Amino acid sequence: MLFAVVSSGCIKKEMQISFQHDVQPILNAKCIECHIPPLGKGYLETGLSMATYEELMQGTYYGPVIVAGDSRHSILNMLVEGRADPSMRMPHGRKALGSEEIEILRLWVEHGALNN
Amino acid sequence: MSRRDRDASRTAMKTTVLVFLLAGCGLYSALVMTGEITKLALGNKQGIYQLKLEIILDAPAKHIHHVVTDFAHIYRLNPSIVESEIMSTPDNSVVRVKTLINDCFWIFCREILRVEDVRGLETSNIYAEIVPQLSNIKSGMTIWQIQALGRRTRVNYNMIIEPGIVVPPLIGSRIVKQKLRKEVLVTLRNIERIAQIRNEMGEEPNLTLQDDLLRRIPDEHDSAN
Repeated sequence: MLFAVVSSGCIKKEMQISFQHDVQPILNAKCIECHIPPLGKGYLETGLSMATYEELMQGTYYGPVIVAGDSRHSILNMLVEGRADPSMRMPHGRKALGSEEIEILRLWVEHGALNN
Repeated sequence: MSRRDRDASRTAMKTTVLVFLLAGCGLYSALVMTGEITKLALGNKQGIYQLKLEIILDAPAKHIHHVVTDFAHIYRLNPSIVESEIMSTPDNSVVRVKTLINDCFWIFCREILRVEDVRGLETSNIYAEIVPQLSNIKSGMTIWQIQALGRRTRVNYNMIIEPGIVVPPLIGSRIVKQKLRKEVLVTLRNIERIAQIRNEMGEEPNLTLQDDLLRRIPDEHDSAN
């Protein structure tokens, strides 16, 4: 349902994005294959697990990937949006996230990256 | 004084002590992580700012060098970086690095586009020169000298920059100098932290990205074949 709203271009800043219903499915479909302990490639390389909200918020060995309320400075958003070097675009070696998925992640972070 | 007042007073006292302790811990960890600054000079002459800094970082030189030249992960070095890209150049001894920096002072924010040509990647002297026609910085150059000191590293950092903004006289120059100093120290602290983590993980810095980049740029001989 949310996808339909997003696709229709009616997404509003006020719209509440749910981690459980909107964000986690995107992560499960596009990211978790690599970012899951103990043997996911992305997990082994960076320490970033997306298995749970808590692990996602914990970030990588090098620090958090989410700045709650600030998608512009959040590394997660930077990497899926392709704002870092193209070689760093996530998911690695796969089709980039769709604009709707990118927007959901952006809004979720902008709204405080809540565990809702 | 009633018992309730005494309890409230004790709670306030405990809170104050806790705040001071936490602040003290934060300050201590910041000092430890920042390394030991052995020289620092910061000046401004006719709108051109120069920062010279010598710092001892608590991580091996090979890891410091790797982190400084790991341009694909440059966003890890400073939270102000919101975009980055390794651009191709006609000269295969140069790596051109673009960064977009979101810089705020108080409530005023602006984005600074910085494109630099980086040379000397395989050496202990790394030169980064601003490409003014692609940046909104008038001119600038940074020289990194990275020298092993046993398991620690001495870094000589020399930056000259002519910002592409109008700096108000008197307080403007002081603000720019403070910002430069702060941002450089944040970057160095992150370089040290990441190098320490890589060292602890036993990562071997092979400079594979740079090798790959240099291979990706065809030279005349290759393209002729």
